[in-house]
Amino acid sequence: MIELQGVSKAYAGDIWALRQVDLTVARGEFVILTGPSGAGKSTLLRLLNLSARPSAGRVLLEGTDLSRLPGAEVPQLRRRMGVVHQDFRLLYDRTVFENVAFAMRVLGLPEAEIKRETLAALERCGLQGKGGLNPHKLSGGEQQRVAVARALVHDPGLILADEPTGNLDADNGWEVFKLLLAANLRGATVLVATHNQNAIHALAKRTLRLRDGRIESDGVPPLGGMDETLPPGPLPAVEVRP
Amino acid sequence: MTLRYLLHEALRQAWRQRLLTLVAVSALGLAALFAGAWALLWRNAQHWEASLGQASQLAVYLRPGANGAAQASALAAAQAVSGVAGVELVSPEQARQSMSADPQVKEALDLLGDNPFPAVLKVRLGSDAPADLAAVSQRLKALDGVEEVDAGQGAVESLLKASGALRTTLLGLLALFSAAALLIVAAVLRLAAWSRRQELGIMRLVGASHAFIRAPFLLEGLLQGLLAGALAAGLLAFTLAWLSARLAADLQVDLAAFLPQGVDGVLALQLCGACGLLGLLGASLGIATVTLAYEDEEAH
Repeated sequence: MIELQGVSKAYAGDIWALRQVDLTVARGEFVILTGPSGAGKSTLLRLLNLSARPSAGRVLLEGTDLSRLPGAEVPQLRRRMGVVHQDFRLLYDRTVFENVAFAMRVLGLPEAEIKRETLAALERCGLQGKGGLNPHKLSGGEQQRVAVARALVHDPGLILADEPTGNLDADNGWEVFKLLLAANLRGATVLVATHNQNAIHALAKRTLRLRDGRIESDGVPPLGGMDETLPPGPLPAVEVRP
Repeated sequence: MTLRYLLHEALRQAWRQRLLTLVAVSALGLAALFAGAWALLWRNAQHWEASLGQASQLAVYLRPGANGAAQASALAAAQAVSGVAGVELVSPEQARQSMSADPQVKEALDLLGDNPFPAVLKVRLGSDAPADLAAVSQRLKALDGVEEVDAGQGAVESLLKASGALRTTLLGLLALFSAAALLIVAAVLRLAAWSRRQELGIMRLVGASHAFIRAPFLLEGLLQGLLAGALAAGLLAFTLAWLSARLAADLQVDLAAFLPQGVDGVLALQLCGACGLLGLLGASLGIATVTLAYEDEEAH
């Protein structure tokens, strides 16, 4: 589904965020991107959602070369994705329902369908009964679940999540991972950038470790194992039930 | 993308930035007022010109003492002049008789004894255009036995000149205010777009097309223009009605005699349409810079 061929990305001409990255992600895979800050995780996701273009190499999504995609076709491609950010990126002058429905309105769907799918997405994300509230009135975890609901509401084939649990405590973070796992089980390909080593080991999914713009390692960590080089922390008190 | 959604977004955005909206509507409204005043003057000037042309009649005074044969000769010559539709001879006797209808004038004439009036040819023009007055007047003046031609030409030309100058001035002001209104609308909607850049970023993130992002802004510009046009038409109509009432009450002057063409539905629609287009154009300019910035950002 996703193929990166010799992809490099430089900002301001000579600050290299990615260097000669080759990567293949199959449809339906759950892939975790990890590594220190500045390793290139976010840049890789930005290349996939076309917020940036590669300086060299090719980014292919279902055979389409994103690096050469005309600007007019970018919106069409983005409608097939769901994107979640660390800072939620919600509209605070609209209700939770309107925030989630936003992604459907862009598709020009009938109002009845927008309402039905939005309510279903809110329910899936444990936000039933909160559609009429302003996001300000929700906790951080709930706000991130609104962002996830917005990313999932139109049932995208690809979900890109950039540090989705970075601003959340362990329990709320784990709730978000569970929602992403559920979407993956429904068939979506998921790429998540995270520093959360506990979640990485609890999930035991394919993990790409990036450093200095290069893929340092690519594999599945042992289930429940911990990286000894990282500070210890308790696993969330939530059972992994994909 | 439903019209209802776009309308809701445009109105919501306008309300959220009501001060800026007020500035944009005021600028457009001012331009609309000048446009309305210009249109009113243009319409009424056309009416004045037509009226003046229709009422144009020259008085050709024959030399004092011209006898019947000389009067008949001048009458025939005047009838043959190009641009003349009809000529009526008023003899000195007829003139005296006509003027004697006023007892005071009759008394004065009686005191004078001799008839002071010359024979006069009343000439009707063949054209409605007052511009023909000068040419016909020149031709008549060149005829034998003609002492003087009174065309009332100076007054007509002055009136037309004043009307033309006023129209040109108003047109200049209209152009100036339209350009200013255009820039203000563009700046207001650009500010609106920048203040909503996070929202626009999210729209782009979820796959909104440029048209989807721009449409509420364009609609907002159009609505601002329509509102400004309607307000300007209403204000012009109100001002004319108020002025008419004041002139009638204080000076017993009928404004409709000078300005027979007022603000009607057609003029109101024309103002709304023109202002709507101006608003749309301003919005288009304003939002173009923002979306171009996004495109530039995405290209890197």
